[in-house]
Amino acid sequence: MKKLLLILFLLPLCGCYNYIELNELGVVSLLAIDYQDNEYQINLEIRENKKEEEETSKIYKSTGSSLDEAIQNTGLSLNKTLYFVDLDILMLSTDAINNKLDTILDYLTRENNVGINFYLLVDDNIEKTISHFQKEKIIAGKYLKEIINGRFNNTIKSKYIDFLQTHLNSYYDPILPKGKLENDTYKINSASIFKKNKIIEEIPFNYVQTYNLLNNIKSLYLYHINYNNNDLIYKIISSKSKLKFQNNKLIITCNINGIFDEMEKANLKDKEEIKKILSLLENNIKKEITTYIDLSISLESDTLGIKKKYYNETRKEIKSLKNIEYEIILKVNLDRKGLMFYSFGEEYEKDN
Amino acid sequence: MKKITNYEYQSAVYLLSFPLFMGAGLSKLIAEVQADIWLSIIIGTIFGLIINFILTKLPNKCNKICKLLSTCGLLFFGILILSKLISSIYLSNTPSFLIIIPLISLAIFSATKGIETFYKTSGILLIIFMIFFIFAAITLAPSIKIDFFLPLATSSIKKIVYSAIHYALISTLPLILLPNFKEHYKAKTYVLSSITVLIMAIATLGNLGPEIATLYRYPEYMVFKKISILKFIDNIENILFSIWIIVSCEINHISALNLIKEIKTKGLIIISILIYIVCSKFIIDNHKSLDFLIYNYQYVLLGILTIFIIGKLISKKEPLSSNNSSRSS
Repeated sequence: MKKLLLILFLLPLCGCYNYIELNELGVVSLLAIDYQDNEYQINLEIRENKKEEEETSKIYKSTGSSLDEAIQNTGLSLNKTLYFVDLDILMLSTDAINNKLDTILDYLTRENNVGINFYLLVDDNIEKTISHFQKEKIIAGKYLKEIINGRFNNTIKSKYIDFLQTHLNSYYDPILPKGKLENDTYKINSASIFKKNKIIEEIPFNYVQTYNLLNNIKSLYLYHINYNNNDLIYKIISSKSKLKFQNNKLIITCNINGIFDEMEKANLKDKEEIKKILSLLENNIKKEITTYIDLSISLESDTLGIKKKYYNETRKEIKSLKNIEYEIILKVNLDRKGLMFYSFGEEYEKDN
Repeated sequence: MKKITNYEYQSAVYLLSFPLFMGAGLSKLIAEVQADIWLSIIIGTIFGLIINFILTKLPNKCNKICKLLSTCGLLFFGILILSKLISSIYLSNTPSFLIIIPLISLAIFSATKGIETFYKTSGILLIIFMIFFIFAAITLAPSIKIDFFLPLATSSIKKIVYSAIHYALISTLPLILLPNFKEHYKAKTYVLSSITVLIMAIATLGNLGPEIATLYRYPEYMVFKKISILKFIDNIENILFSIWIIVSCEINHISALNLIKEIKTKGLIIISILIYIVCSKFIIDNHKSLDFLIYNYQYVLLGILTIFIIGKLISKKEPLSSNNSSRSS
């Protein structure tokens, strides 16, 4: 009897207060925040949790003088409890980042109801983007997450927890992917770089590629070279980059293995020709890396963590990147990958 | 009375090293020494071994008042830490006074079952704990960034030693609750628990980085949020962390057992009600009191240890009466 009473006494206390039915949850896939005229403008994409409407979502917009107020105003028109644990994308405008980043991060980090594995994306035309995805009738958050996460997509893959770590670290400047609509297609092919937690510049795709290469991010890397008036494309199969300080000089070593697409444009049987092409390619990639490093130095935007590497090596801090000397040691190799011994159109085919 | 096996006793020693880490242990250590936490834990283990050695040299008998005070202190901390943890992570909307009730009820109920139940539970919990721990360690290991630990030994020696003492206090204090500590204590069990905490600290710091690890009250929970296996198994932090909560109930169990031995069930209930009132009314929802306790955590723990040692020394000086048993703890 005592045990029964005890069980009865304890049961009502087992988390019933916090319990929410699944169909009362508004699972947020995308949270887009803009800051204009001293007001937060938010767009929330909430997934339908009915079985027959699994791949649909609804967009809710609202404004507020604080983020809490804006989200509360959304909640007032919604018959569900907002649930951010499965958030896919946090979309921020440059204005929101440059004016209210700390406030936004404080809200999202403090809330227990928010996950940490969602991705960040910069977009300066949130309304147009949202309208585009509404027309396409797809879940924008899930779709954008798949673009960023795509194995062959050379984008900045910045999860919230990693961005937070870079934001709080005084040695690094963050970098975030940036998306925009181009000819009615949404593309994430550029990035926004920061300096002291404010966005200072948008960088194009080739710089994003260089950044990922130097950070050993596994993705698809393609480099063009012009050889004998032919456009040769080199595809990287594997690469290993390292940044280290030696004798007060930043040494950037990069070992790259790859293959050529469009092979009929060059005679790959001729070793001398291969050497010439690889030399051209090395110069090309070296130029890309040099341009990116020079841009980082001129803008004082340390996305590569150069200051941290200097500190690791010397235990001294450097205030500015401007006097950094660097050297790039690049090695480019030709390699084969895949199921075949020979490629179509190559030696074997030509001899027969 | 069934004989307690060596495995069960050592399981209890191993598991009791963890409860006081939740909330003011690992986060505070990382805040003090950042990336040098591994050094603090290694040095702290040596200090902990010294403290345990001192405890084995003390007499088995303890002054009743000192024992009551130290046990109540540990029961208070056990209840407070667990309640705060559950209310912060799992039941953020549930009033804290409701969360404390089942924890206290569980402590009282399990104390009425006797010491054998405590040891048997420890034996079973150890296996489950190791399974979850090894799983978490394996999934977190590949994403550890060495850069977060470089350069090595940047904190001052004073800070490292200070946090090592802090670590030693947190990991050894619950062991004063174990009866017959002198006879059954094995240093290797304590070293094994230190290795576990070291792995936990490296996994936490290596994945989150020092800035994020100091930001959160429970970095050991936040790091579990990073686990994502095969891109579809994620959000398993609540399952993995639940074993830490269950293990943390051990300190409440053994504290209540010690109290029931001295002051019987009625006395235990009165003490529990007092702890409940103090926790729910003055501490748990009071930001200032909680911050004060966290800020002075190591001094409070040192105070509890001092009272216990004084109690042991006083009992040594007390004249032996014909009714006194020489092997009571």
